[in-house]
Amino acid sequence: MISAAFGDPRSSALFEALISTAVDGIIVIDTEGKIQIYNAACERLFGYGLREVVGRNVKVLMPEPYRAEHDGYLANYHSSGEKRIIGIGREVVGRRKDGTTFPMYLSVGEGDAGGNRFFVGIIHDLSEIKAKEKERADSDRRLASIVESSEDIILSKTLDGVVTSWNGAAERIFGYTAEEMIGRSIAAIVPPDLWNEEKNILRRIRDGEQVKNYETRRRRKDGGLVEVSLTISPLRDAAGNIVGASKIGRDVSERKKAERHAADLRAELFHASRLSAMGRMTAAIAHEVNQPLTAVTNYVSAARRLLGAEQPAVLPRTRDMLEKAAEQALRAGAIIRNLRDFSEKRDSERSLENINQIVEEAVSLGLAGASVVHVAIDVRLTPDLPSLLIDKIQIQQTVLNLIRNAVEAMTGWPKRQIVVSSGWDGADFVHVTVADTGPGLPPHIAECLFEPFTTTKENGMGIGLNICRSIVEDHGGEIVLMPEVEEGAAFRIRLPVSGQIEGEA
Amino acid sequence: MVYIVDDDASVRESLSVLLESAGLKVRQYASATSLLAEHPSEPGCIVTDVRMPEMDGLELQEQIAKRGWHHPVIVMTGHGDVPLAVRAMRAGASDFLEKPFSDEAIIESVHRALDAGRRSRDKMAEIRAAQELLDQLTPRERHVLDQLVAGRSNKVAAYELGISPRTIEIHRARIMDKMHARNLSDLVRTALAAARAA
Repeated sequence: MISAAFGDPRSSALFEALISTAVDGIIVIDTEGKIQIYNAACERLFGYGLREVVGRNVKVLMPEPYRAEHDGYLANYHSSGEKRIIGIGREVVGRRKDGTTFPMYLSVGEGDAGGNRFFVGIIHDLSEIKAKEKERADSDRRLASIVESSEDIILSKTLDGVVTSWNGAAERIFGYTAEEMIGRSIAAIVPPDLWNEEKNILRRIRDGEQVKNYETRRRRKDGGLVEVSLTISPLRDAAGNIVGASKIGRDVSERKKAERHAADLRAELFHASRLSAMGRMTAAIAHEVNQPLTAVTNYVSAARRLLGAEQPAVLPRTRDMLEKAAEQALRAGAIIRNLRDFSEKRDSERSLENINQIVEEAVSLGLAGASVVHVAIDVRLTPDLPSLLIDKIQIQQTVLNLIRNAVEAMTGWPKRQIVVSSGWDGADFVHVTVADTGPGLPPHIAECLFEPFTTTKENGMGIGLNICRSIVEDHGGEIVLMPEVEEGAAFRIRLPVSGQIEGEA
Repeated sequence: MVYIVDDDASVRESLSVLLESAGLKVRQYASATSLLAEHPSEPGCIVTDVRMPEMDGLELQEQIAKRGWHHPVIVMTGHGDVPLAVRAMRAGASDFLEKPFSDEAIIESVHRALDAGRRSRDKMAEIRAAQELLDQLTPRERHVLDQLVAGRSNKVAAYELGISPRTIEIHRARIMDKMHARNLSDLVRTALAAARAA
């Protein structure tokens, strides 16, 4: 073809141009292996100049063992005609002038010019490609070893849930080997009651969503359950299509166990603090109950003595004493009943609650009987307060206590108004305030207000606020008497916004 | 007279009727300070609660001792504990009763306190009387009395004081007369009682 179009190529300028501009190296050798043609690309590849190699055996461009074998190839081809490389080409190694070697692709052809047979070699440098391949292989190996040595479960699956990779941590944690799992459905490790969950996850992955730190349970080969935290991401092919999912997971059984343990400890602590509050109150309880019991005993004894005198005149007096004894016995009973109301709510159960709702309920409870003494209640709640992790009953009891105290404080006082308000400091605490327009508190009472036995009431036990304080402090909050109010008294409960208690533990 | 101090009106009143039914005279006080403000004019004892606002029962006990009143104090408590009882008894309480108590217990305790008060008053009267008698003696007679109380014979006393045994005898007769003593032991007892007061 070439000959037909351009005449004898050897003599033409075209031939020269072809050889010298080729990016690949071109070498022509004679039947003895001596280099006849050696182009510019070869000079760059091997570092030898044209003059240095023309006429020399081509072996000079080969490292061992090709160098030793080459004469044999040629001899073998000449005698048997067996082609090892001619017309095929293969990957071999070239040797530069400085002795270094490089990978190359060698295509060999043969020709005949006027009875002189020759061989043509075209050399394509593979150094860059090989370097890149090696780099990629190294990187793959590195990634593979990271995946393999990871403490975290790393696996991949198709969008149908067929496992495509499975690392050592997955083997350890789930008990299945990679051979057992690859090609098999991920459903093997999903407890049957969570199959829907797995389907939902795959649907979200198909939509290109990532599922982060998802805590769930998985089933081990031995049937046991393991608590895991999973992050599942879509896997895309080169064109960006989602073809599967990667799953990175962590065994959180231990952490969960530790969390449960911490929660138990916290519960025990709350219980202990409640017990200690009860302990502090024991003296108050004994004192309060023994007072009426003493009166009962005294009245009954006195009545018995008078009756012993057997004089009709003493009857009205003894009747009076027995009536008073009965009254005092009832007083003792009322004290016990009050205490029981508090002690029955021993088991503290906390949940996320809306404080405004609790305040409203406490107000409606506190209002019972308030209209009789003509007390006006003004409720000023701040909307959209953060929810609180609290024992609803206990906090309600506390607010109710404050409202009842306010109602009682204003009995017989000319101005009777209660303002119950809620608010938030914008950060860590939500507060509820109960303010009244009553006579306020004398300084000597205000000082030890929350201590047991402190009371301004005729028949008060002086332990209500003490219990309120125990409850609020159990919740990580505080209860204070607001200083410098214009009139009456104002109590404020401050409660930590949910999450604070966790941080504290 | 029994002075009752308790901030709890029902305890105060019921205790009053009980003690009255036992034929005792009572007076009620709602606080320790109100009792202290009024000097208990009549002899008797004090029955007080421990736990009271302003001043508690143990402080009241101290104040009574400080003022030199001879009213024994019975302490009542609604929540008795050992340290409190020990403190009260150490401070000289006549009795320590836990509420509630039986009528026998309180009445008996009050009677014991009243007796003790009476005895202490009698003793005081005796001391005061001895003191008065002693005050009638001349200085020389006091010296002779000192010798006699020290157990010295007339002779030794005479030698010590540089006077004759005869003069000692005259002094001694006059001293016995002034001190209303029937015999020597009577004389010594009165002299010692007076010395205790000094």
